[in-house]
Amino acid sequence: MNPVATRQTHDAPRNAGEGEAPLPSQPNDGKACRPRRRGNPAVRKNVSPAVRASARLLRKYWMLWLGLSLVGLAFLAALLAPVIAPFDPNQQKLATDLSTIFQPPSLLHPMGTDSLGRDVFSRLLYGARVSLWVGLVSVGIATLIGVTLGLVAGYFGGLVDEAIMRAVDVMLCFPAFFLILAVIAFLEPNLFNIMIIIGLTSWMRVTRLVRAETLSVRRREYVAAARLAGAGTGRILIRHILPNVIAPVLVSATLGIAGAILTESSLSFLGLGIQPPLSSWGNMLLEGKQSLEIAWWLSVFPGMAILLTVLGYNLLGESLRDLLDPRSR
Amino acid sequence: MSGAPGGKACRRTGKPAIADNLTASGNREPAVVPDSSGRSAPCGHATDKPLYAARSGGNAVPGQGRQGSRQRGRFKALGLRLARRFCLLTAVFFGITLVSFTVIHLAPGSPVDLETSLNPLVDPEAKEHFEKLYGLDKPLYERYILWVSKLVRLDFGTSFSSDRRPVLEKIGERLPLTVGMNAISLVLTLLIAIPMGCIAARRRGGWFDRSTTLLVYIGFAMPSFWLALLLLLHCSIELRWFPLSGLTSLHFESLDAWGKIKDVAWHLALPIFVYTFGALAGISRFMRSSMIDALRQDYIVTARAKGLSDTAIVFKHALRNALLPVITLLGLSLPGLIGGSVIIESIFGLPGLGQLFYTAVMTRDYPLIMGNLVIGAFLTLAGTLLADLCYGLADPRIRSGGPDKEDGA
Repeated sequence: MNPVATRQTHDAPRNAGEGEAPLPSQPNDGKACRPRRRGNPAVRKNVSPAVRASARLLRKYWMLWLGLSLVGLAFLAALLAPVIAPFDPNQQKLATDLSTIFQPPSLLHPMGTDSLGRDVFSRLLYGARVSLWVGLVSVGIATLIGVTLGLVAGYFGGLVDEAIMRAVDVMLCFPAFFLILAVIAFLEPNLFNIMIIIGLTSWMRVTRLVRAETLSVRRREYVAAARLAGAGTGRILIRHILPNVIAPVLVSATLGIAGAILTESSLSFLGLGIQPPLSSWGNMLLEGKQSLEIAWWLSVFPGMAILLTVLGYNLLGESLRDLLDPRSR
Repeated sequence: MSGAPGGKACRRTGKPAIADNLTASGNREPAVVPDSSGRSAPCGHATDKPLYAARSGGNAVPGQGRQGSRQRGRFKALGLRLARRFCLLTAVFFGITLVSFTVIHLAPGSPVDLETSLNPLVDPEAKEHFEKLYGLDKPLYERYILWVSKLVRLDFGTSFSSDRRPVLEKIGERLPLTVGMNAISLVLTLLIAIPMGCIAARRRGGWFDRSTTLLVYIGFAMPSFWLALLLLLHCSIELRWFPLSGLTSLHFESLDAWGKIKDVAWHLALPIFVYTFGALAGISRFMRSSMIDALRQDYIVTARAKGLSDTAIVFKHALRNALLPVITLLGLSLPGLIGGSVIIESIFGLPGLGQLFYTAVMTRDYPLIMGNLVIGAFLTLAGTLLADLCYGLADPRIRSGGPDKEDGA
C-alpha cells in the first residue's frame, strides 16, 4: 500500500473533525503507518474512540435507530401537523377553482391534490394522528386485557386457567377480520369504535405470552419469599410477578401497534373505518383507488406512509426483542 | 471448503448449543433421535442411529427391535390424539358460533330498520310483519338454539336479500374461487418460502440472508391493498399487461376450454401474486429461524462430522425437523388469509367469499353473515386439524402419544 495514501486517510478525520469514523479494518491495512499512529495518541484517544464507538453503536443497533427514527418521524408528523401542514387538510377549492383538483405533485403541493382539491401532504400529516391513536389505544386495551388474563391464568392455574386458555383458543381460531368488519359496520364506524374493537380482538397472544412467563416466574424463590413475608395475592401478582414478565409484553405490544395500524388502514380502505372528511391513510388510499387511472400520487404517498410507520414499529419491536431477550440472539 | 460458512455459524454457537440441547431436549423431547432415524431411512438418518443411540443413552426408547408393533401403537396414539383434537375443535367451533351470533345480533341496527327507516309509509304493523318474517321477534337464546339446530342439519337459512336464496347455495358458488386462490398462493408461498428460509439460514449473515431479511421486513410492513394498488397502477394501467378487475373477459363465453383457463389465469395472476407476497414474509422468516434452530441440534454436528455436504445436511437432515413449526404456523395463518380475501377481492373485483361477506355486512343480512362466519371458522378449524394431522405424520414423537406440546406464542 502506498504510505502517502494511508497517511492521508488517517489524517483525514483530524482535519474533517468528526466526519467519518475510520473502519476497524483500516489500521491493519498497511503496517507502515502503525508506528506513526502509536506515536500520535492524541488522534486515537481524543477523537477516534468516541467516533468509532458511536459508529460501532450505530452499526450494531442500526435496526433500533432506524425503527426509532421512523416512529419518531410519524410522531413528529402527528404532533406538529398543524405547524407543518401547508394547507388546511379539509380545505376544498373545488367550488371556486376547478383547476386545483387532481394536481400532480409540485412545489406548492408536494404530494399533489385530490379529487376535491385538498392538499394530500396536509391530509397525510393529519392522517398520522389517526394511525398513532389507533395503534397506541388499541394495543393499550389489548395489553391490559392480555396481561390481566395471562397473570390470572398462569398464577391460579386449574379451572380458571383452563377456561381462559380455551377462550383464547376460540378467539384465535376466529376469522377475526370478518368479525371486526361485521361489528364495525353495525356500530358506527368511527375512531373510538375502531380502537375498542381492534383492542378487543387482539389480546390473545399477550395472554399466552404472559401466562407462559407467569407459570415459570411464580415458582421462583422470591415469590415464595414474598408470600412468606405475608404479601397478599394481588401484591405478589403486581409487585413481584408483573415486573418480571413485562419484557416480552413490551416487544409484543410494539409489534402489535404495527398490526393495529395495518388493520385500521384496511378497514378504512374498505370504507368501514375512519370516515371522511377526517383523513386517515386507509381512506386516502380508498380515494386513490377510485381515481387510480388519473392520479397515481393519491395511491402512492399514503401507502408509503403506512409502510414506513409499520416498518418502524416492526424494527423497533424486533430490536427490543434482541435487547431484552438474550436467548434470541 | 464448501462447508465453511455453515461451519462458521456452528463454531460461533456450537458449544453452548450442544450443551443446551443435551439438557433441554433430553427432558422435553426424549425420543428425538432414535425415532426419526428409525423410520426415515430414505432421509439418510439411518446411518446416524448407532451413534445417537449410544450418545443419548438413557433417552433412547427401549425396544427398538419391535418396530412393527410400536408402529401400530403409534398410529393408534395419533388417532387418539386427533380424536381428542377433533372434540376440542368442535367445542371451539360452537364457541365461535355463540360469540359471533351474540355479537352480530346484539349490535344496533337491525335489517328491519335498514329496510323501513327511510320509508315514511311503513307503519309499525309492517315492521312487526318483517320481524316475524325474519324470525327476529323471538328472544336471542331461542333464535340461537333454532339457528344451531338448523345448522347441524346443514341448513343455513335463506338470505334476507331480495333474491331470498338459501345461504348455502350463495356461499357454495363463491367458495371455490376464494379457496382455490388461497390454496394456489399457499402452495406457491411454500415453494418459495421454504428454500428461501433454508438458504438464508445456511449462510446466516450472508448476502442472501441479508437481502431476504430486507424483503421480509418490507413484506411485513406492506399493506396488501397498497401492493395491489401499485401493481394495478404499474402493470395494468401503464403497461396494460393485466386486466384492471374482474374474473373473466367480456368475450369469455366465446372462448374454448383452454382459452377460458388462460383467461381466468390472466385475471387471477395479480391477486395471487398479492396473496403470495403477503404470506411469503412470515413463512420464510419462520422457516429461517426454525432452520437455524434445527442446525444447532446434535445430529447436525454428527452429520457434519461424518463429512456430509452442506446441501445434504440442510435439505435432508435439518429440513424435516425445521418444517414442523412451519406446519403449525400454516394452520394458524388461515384466519388471516380468509380475512385478507375481503380486501383483495374488493380491489380486484373478484366474485369470491370476501366480496359476498362485504355485501352481507353492508345489508345486515344476518343469515348470510353468520353463514360466512361459520364457513370461515370451519375452514380455519379444518386447516388446524389438517396441520395437526400433518404434524403427526411428520413427527414420530407426536405419533407415539407423548404429552401434548405446549403451543405457546
